[in-house]
Amino acid sequence: MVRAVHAEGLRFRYRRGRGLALDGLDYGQERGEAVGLAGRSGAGKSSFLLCLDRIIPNFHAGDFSGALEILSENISGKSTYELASQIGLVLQDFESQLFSTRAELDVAFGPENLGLDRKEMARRIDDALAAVGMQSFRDRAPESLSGGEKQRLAIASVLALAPEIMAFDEATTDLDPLGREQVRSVIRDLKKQGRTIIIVDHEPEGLAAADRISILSGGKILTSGPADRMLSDPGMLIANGIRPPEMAQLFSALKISPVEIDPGKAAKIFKAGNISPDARALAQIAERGQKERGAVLIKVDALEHIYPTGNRALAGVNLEIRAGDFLAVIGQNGSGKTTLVKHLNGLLGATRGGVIFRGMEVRPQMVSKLGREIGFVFQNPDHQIFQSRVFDETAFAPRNYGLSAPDIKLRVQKALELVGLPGRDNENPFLMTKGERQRLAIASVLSADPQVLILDEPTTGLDYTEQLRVMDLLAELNRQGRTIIIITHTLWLAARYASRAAVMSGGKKLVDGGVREVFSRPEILKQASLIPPEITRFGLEMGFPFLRVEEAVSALEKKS
Amino acid sequence: MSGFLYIEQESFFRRLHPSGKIIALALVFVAALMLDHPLYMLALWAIAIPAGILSKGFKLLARLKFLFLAVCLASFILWATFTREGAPLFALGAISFTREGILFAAGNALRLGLMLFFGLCFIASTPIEDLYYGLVKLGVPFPVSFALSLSFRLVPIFSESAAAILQAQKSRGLKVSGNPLAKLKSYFPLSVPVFLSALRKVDQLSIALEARGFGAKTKRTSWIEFKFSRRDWLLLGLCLALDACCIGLRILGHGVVGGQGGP
Repeated sequence: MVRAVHAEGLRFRYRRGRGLALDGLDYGQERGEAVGLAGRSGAGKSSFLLCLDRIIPNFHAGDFSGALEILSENISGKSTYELASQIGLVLQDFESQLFSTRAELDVAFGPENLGLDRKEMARRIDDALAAVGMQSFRDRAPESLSGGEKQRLAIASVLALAPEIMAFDEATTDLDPLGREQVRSVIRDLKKQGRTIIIVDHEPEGLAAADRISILSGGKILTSGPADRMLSDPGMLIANGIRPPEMAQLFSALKISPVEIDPGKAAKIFKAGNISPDARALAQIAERGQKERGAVLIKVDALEHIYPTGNRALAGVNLEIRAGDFLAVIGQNGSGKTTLVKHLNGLLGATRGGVIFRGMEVRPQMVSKLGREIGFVFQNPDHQIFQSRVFDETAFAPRNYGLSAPDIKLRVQKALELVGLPGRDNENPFLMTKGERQRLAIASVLSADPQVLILDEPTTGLDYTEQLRVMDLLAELNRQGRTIIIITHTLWLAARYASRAAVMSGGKKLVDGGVREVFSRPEILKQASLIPPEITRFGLEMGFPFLRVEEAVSALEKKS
Repeated sequence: MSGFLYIEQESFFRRLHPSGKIIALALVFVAALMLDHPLYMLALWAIAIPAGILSKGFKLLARLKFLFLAVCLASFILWATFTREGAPLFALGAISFTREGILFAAGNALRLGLMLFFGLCFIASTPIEDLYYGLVKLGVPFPVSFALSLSFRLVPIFSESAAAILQAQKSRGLKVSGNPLAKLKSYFPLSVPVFLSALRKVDQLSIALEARGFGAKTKRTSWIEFKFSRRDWLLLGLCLALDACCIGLRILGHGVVGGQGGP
């Protein structure tokens, strides 16, 4: 029988890497099987995928050993392009995978390299675009597409080489919820057609498409099993940096089995057993959420922004942010979230309307001055880190503001302590993990001691453990009295941590208010193509919009 | 912001055979290099205007106007300052300017501008796929043609990430102003992340290319196809005629500052 993938004792160390990226990894996958690979950042998932079409060791230098067969053929000594028609690789960064001016030309690129004739090329292009539902996009410029469409186009351009195996390396990580669902639906379709599939993902929703899930740790497979069984084991998932489905957490905490992962079906099980939430517990939860709000700090007044391209990114947004708020701005890409928050510290100037901060109008000339009061952490920490020492990176802002050397030292120490990087002053930021670099980026803004902290998607690309770490840090800063504003696509995270939420869609603010109040209105979220977190959906079926699993556990454990 | 220098619009030049356009571009460069008198340069500019309209080159020029003017102005100042020949006109401190120097500098700035402008007309009307198709048809190996074409694609990507990085550093109190030296120093916090993010992007891109069969030993085919038509021959004929005129003028000693053979 032909096996899709068979690996034995794969070892790899990147030339400048500190440890082994792969440490004797054994792996087997049948044809037609869909396997999910998960594990902490640095567990070896991506490195393993790169071995499959020999980008490791052909392009990434290092020590490589072990045996690897693709479709029962030993691939040692093969070139990457020779393997392109056996295994297709879709990467996280969809921007770098597209380089043409017309969608069909990106799809044609692979068949052209294979030297196919026109007739065969035409068939391949048609089939590949149809497989991702983009037949009508063939003449569109890829740059005009949304993130989800771009990633689907990247998938089509790999499919055009007709590989039997498709490997997805965090292909949905950089997408908004709508784009994620589009790409996941393409993956499910490919699976139905019998293709062999490998999915690397941090999210349980992405892993759910797999038949089997293998957990990687320290460069080898730690454990492996059927997807539904693996996703029902919250303890094991959390221990490996993977977010467990919220229903699995609930069932496990209440010691109910078997686990039902779908919130609607789970609610039915509780109802059938005549279990309803405890009224006293619900009253307590509701009361705990009532937090006295501070004075108005930022007032956004009929804010409109039109980019030089003519794109109207904001159309009359009103919003009040009060001292001590923890606000989550949610919505799809292109809904105006980032444009909105960039007005708060003057990075962008209003076309009409304006922003008042502490009674003073915010203007673009004030950006660097306002940095002492409003800190802004950008989405990609690598867009701001430039020093070769953690200390210097963190000291950049206070130095810009002309503080004395002892003051700077104090500020840096305090900031590094807050983000959990104390005593690492002399380390090189570029050798840190992505999660650490994200926290360093926060420290380097905190060192200016701003009262307001704005963060654009602070958890993108981090594993579950790192996500919680960053969010716990923000919660702590909020408790100390700082006002926190985050942009996020991750609704469970907003539910767990934020006190308020503002929903953006098409440059307009659909609603803002307390998180529980906003999330208990799925019809409004739907207008922004968002759905509430699983625990909230479950809660709405049960009559109370839970925001955290612990809330549901406390309200249900007495009854079950 | 547009991710390409290519202007996505139907135009007369857009439909021409890319190889023909590459040769035509080389021919107009030859014409421009024959002359350096500002008046003759202005005459060549009169020819450039219809080319700009037919190729949407003006649209691209509008986007890059500051860079364009800066390059032309720098060229003018350098030539005017360092040309010593001819009758002195006036002096600024220790530097004296001559009539020939000014004329020569004006001619050179106009010429550089003209060549840049023809280049813009070409880029604005030629998507990168057409560019490497045209180069391959002229005998340039595919990997070289592709790499060259791709560099045009990367320019806007880099400038976008540079803009994001500038915003990030400004929010941390970076001031990009003051005297030129201070300004240069303040660009250091920008250059490191720009350089590193560019490296990362190129690395990802090269992985994506390889994974799509780039570098395969089989003879590469092409999905896009062009045929040399009467329009292409017409363009080449016009460019050759222009070259003949300019070479003729040069031989007769016209069109250059200071007569025979330049200053």
